[in-house]
Amino acid sequence: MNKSKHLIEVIYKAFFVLFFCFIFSPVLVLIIFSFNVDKYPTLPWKGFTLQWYKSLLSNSLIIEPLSNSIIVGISITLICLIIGFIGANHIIRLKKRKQDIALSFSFLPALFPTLLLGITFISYLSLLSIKQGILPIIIFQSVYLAPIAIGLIYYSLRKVDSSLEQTCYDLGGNIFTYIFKILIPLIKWNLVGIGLLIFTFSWDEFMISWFVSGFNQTISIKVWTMLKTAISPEINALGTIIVLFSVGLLITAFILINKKVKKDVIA
Amino acid sequence: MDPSRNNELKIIFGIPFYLWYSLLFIVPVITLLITSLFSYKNYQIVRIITFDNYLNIFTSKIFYISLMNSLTIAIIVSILTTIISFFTAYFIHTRISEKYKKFAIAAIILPLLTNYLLRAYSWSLVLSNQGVINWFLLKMGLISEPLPLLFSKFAIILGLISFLTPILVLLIYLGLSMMLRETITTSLDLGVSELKTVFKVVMPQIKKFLLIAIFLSFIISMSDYVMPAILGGGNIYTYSYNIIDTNNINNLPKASALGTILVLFITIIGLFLFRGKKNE
Repeated sequence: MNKSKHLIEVIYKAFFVLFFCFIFSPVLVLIIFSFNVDKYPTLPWKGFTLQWYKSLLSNSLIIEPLSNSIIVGISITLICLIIGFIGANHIIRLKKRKQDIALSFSFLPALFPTLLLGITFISYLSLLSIKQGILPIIIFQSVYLAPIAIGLIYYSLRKVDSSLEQTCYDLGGNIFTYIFKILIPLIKWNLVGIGLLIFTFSWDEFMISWFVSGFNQTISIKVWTMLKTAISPEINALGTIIVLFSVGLLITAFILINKKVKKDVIA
Repeated sequence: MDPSRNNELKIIFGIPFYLWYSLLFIVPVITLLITSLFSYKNYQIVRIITFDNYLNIFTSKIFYISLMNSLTIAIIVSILTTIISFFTAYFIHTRISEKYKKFAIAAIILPLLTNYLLRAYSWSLVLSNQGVINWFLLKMGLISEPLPLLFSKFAIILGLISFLTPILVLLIYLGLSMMLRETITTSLDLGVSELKTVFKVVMPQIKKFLLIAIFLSFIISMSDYVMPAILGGGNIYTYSYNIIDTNNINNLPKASALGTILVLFITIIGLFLFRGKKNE
């Protein structure tokens, strides 16, 4: 009896380890192949090289998508933080039951399949006769990403002492003094962390951008066209850079959202 | 805080928020519906209401083929993903000490936010004829010819499961951590076997989370285009392929009609899964 129980425990542990191999190994394979001498991503291993990184960095076709992605990423981060701040401040002032309903509704666009959002947005652009381009990418990515900002900012506002606002008014302040002198300084590290998270999402977002971009390319769209045309080992190098960049942003974002904030807000 | 001031601020913050929400989400969705009633003739969109697109779609064989392909993928993926994710989340909840839980969760979030296209592509490196798996099996002498793993339904399903499991593990873990911790230990102390505890005690308590998990993985795998394109290589004609192909020949009204049908289809399944949930 005890022995079979022990065996089940071992199998369960093995399952857990396998699960992590399953979600991590493909990306590791990508990173490993980016250093392979062989032009084709095949085994056996032919030797270590950095040539694909060199040829990627000397490839001028990568500059435009890169700068587009940065422009989109920074704009979308600011827009989502503003919408998120306004939305969360509205929702937190509702009655408790209504807060849950408003939150679920505001989350709807983020749960909408991106393919459907894409087709929705081009029919909207077509009806309004607006040209596809970088601006539509910024506008429509916000629909998909702002819900995340709303939810997370709402979560950090909940941790702020609610009597502070009244105290501020009693001392002769108004809503602007409250927001800019008290609220934003209190949750500033939260906001920075959420901003980084949004930037990561925007950086990786493909489907919506692809639909509304016209002939403009972001880094994700560039990856897509590279995958759809001749596969060169440069894609492995570019992929590795993108993955490491996202992971770096992400780790920073989580440290800022979790650690720093708790101290500031609860105090 | 003084309620009238609170009310005033609620409205001041509410106006721009709802304006953004309706102009960029609700109105576009309505536009999708309206566009699906237009038609496409002589390379131009004709803005006259007609049901031709729907008649056209429902009488074409390709619609049913693509729908069945996507439906099969979505059903297999959502069931398998939910099972795998449940046991992973349950493992973290019951077998990992408080100190290391944070790291386990962080490790699950990490792949979640790496580029979706690249994750699909990296699976093709693993599955292709010259890929890691076939190389290994050939080397071991287990097979004499490479297995055609890539460009198949299997590859799409595998890719989707690996994409969705991290999301669902987080969701189900959230459900588990909201449950009373004592329920599991009490049940085990009373001599109920763990498997029985899982099915009779744990699962009913987090039913809502499991339903959301199934539904979320269903809608994503039903409508995904990237995995069928990169791992299916176009061999499996999914519903998303149908939409993109229709859009690529500039027939936006018909593509919108296909989109509208998918929205309605998903809504009906959602209503079915969550029927009667409002009263709880």
